[in-house]
Amino acid sequence: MQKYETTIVVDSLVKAEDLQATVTKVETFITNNGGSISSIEEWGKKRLAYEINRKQYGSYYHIQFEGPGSLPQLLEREYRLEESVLRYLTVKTPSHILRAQAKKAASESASAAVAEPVVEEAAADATEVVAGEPVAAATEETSAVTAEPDDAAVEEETTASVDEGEPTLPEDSKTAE
Amino acid sequence: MIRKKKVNRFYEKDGPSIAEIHYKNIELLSRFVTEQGKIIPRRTSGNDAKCQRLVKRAIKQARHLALMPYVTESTK
Repeated sequence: MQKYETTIVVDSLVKAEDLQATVTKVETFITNNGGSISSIEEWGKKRLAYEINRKQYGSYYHIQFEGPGSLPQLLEREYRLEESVLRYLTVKTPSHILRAQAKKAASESASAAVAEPVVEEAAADATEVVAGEPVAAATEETSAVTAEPDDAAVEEETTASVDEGEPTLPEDSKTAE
Repeated sequence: MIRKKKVNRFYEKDGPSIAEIHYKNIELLSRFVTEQGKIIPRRTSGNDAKCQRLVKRAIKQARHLALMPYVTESTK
C-alpha cells in the first residue's frame, strides 16, 4: 500500500449536485479499487491562474488515500472520461512530507512513552487488575516507533522514480514560451 | 519582490519548514517566483539544491492545477 494524494479541478459551472456527484464518484472509485481514503479537503471555488477551456473558475478537491500501485493509473483514466474535470494531479505523498510526519509521530510517541511510567505507577496504586494495561500500551507504542522509519525509507525510494512521469512535466514546455 | 538577500530560510529557526513545501501552499511558493511568475533562480533565492528542487517541483505542480500562473496577464 502506498500513500497518494490527488487534486482535481472541477468545472464550477456545473450544478452543485453534479459537483457532489463527481466527488462521490471518485470516492467510491477509490474504495472499490482497493484503496482507502484518509482525508478529503474541499478548497472551494477558486479563480484559475489562467483560463482552461474558456473557464475562469474551478472547484478544487484534494483527496489523500492509500492504495495499490495500480490505482492512480485507473483513477486518472476515470478523470479523463469525466468531462467536468478540468485538471487533475495524482502524486505519491512527497517523501519529505512523509519523513516530517514520521519524525513528528515518533517524537510524540517518545514523549508519550516518557509519560507512561507515571500512569503505570498510578494504576498500580489503584488495583492490580488495571496495572497490566499500561504496560501493554507501552509496548505497542515502542513497536510503532520502530516500524515507522522503515516505511518512510521504502516510500522514499519508490517516490523518486514515479514522480518524474507525472502529468505536470509535459506542461513544462509552456514555461519556455 | 525581495531580491539580493541570500539566505536559505528553510533552515532558519523561525522560517518555514521543508515539510511546508507543497503545491497547495501557494502563499509560500509565490515567494519563489517573480512578478511575472518565473521561478527565482537558486543564486538569488538562496535555496540549497534540495530545497530548490522541492520548490521547483511544487511550483510546476501548482501551475498544472492553475493555482499559479505559467505567465502573468501583463506579459501575455
